[in-house]
Amino acid sequence: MKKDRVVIKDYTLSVLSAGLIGALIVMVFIPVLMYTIGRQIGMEDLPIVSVFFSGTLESISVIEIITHIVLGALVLQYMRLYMFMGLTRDRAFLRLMMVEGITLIVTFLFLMIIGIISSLIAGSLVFSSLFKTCFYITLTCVLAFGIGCVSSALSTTCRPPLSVGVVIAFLFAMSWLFSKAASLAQETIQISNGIQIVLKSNETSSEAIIACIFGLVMSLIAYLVYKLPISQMKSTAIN
Amino acid sequence: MSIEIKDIKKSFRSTKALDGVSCSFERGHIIGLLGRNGAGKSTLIKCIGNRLYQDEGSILLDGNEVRKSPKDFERITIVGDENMLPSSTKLKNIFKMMDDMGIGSEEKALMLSKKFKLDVNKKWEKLSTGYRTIFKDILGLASNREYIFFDEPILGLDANHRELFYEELLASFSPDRCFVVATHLIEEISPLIDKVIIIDNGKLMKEGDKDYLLSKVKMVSGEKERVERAVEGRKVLSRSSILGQMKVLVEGDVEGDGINVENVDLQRYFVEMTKDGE
Repeated sequence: MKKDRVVIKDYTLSVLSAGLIGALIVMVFIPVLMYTIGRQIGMEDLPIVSVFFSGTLESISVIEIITHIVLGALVLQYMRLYMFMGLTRDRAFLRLMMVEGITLIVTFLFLMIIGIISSLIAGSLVFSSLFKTCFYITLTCVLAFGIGCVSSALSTTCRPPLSVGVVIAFLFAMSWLFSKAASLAQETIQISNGIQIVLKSNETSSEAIIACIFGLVMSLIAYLVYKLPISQMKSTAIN
Repeated sequence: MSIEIKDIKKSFRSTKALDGVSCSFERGHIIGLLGRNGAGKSTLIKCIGNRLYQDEGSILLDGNEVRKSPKDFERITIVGDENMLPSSTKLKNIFKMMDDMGIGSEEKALMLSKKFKLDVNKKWEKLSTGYRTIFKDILGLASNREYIFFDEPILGLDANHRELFYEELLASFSPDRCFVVATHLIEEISPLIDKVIIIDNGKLMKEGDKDYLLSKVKMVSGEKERVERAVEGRKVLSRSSILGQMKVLVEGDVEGDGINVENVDLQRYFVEMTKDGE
């Protein structure tokens, strides 16, 4: 772990700083702005705190998900750094997956803290529900990371604009598959009389699990792309 | 104890960047990897560093395929001409990581940074071209690996920094290591290197001990007929003539009346060897 502390610091700081900026905007800036506007127009009893703080976690989760896409896209840069440090492509990639795993744990903990604070202020803290929500958001972050990761890997196989086209086509295909899988998960398949497969009992959980599986699949595809003979690790491929 | 390059081929679409190059990088040498623009030097270094995959051929370190042997790959440091570092990471953190990963000394890197007046609190993206080169050079100089490849290590450096780099390069060298320097400033690097590998148009043109190679060739100039008579039967490496005068680079000793026979320096040798490719 000590060997990776610089990369872990970079990754976790990205997640924390993006989240904190989001929290500042959602939990401080917007409520203050709304309160000020409310006072100006003579509506001093607006339920600003409870309204805004009840949606804080969801708003910040969007920022975290976007940050994980960016972190996925940075995989190539950090792989090159690891390779400079003497690691082969395989080891460099696997090390980054470990770093991302730690980052996901940090994301989960950060969301829990934000969730607890906002729920306490909003006045409705249900710990089990909060835990589940944060867990599902973290699973969705895996998908986000997979998207960034695979786009970064695909960009090593050919130069822009072809690589951009390939990435866009791939992401469209994966999002179509994801939407199909997510909608399929909301259904119950009837095999015969009396036999049915319930693919989804809880909407949020199954979608999050599918997102996580897609993220892992995309990361695996990224790994395989990096192993392809046409995969170039030169900086010109992405920078 | 060497890196053996065996019949490496690498193409980018219709362009053959490397066309069956075979050479070796032995420990105990500072090797000049020389070639004109687009000759294939950087491509060769990138293949060794696993940044690019060669189409054919193999790269062996003490008999093991480098790409498949993590332990052997760890013995090599590649300081490339490319942007290989995360742009938003502070330089001192990269030095710290180098120490953590066991590839070099943070202390030495910081000491070199002071000498080169490099602000280690800056981020890579904020550095000028010259300081980017300096930073990469410091990574190479502070590395403790056996084989260090510097690709264009003096790109954008002023004369003072170039001098300092050469000093530090010699100071960091030891008989159990191999430094490879790919550069265009042949005249400057010539006193430092003891072996040369010349690549032209993706092919190996010459490989060998610098002094031995230079001792074997002579530049013969004078009237065309006299020069041609003098070098008859000898291996001519290059020839040019203008207004009845001729200049020939030839292997072996040459004697004759009315001709000038001179030793050549590495730069002249390189220019003569590679100008036929024009």
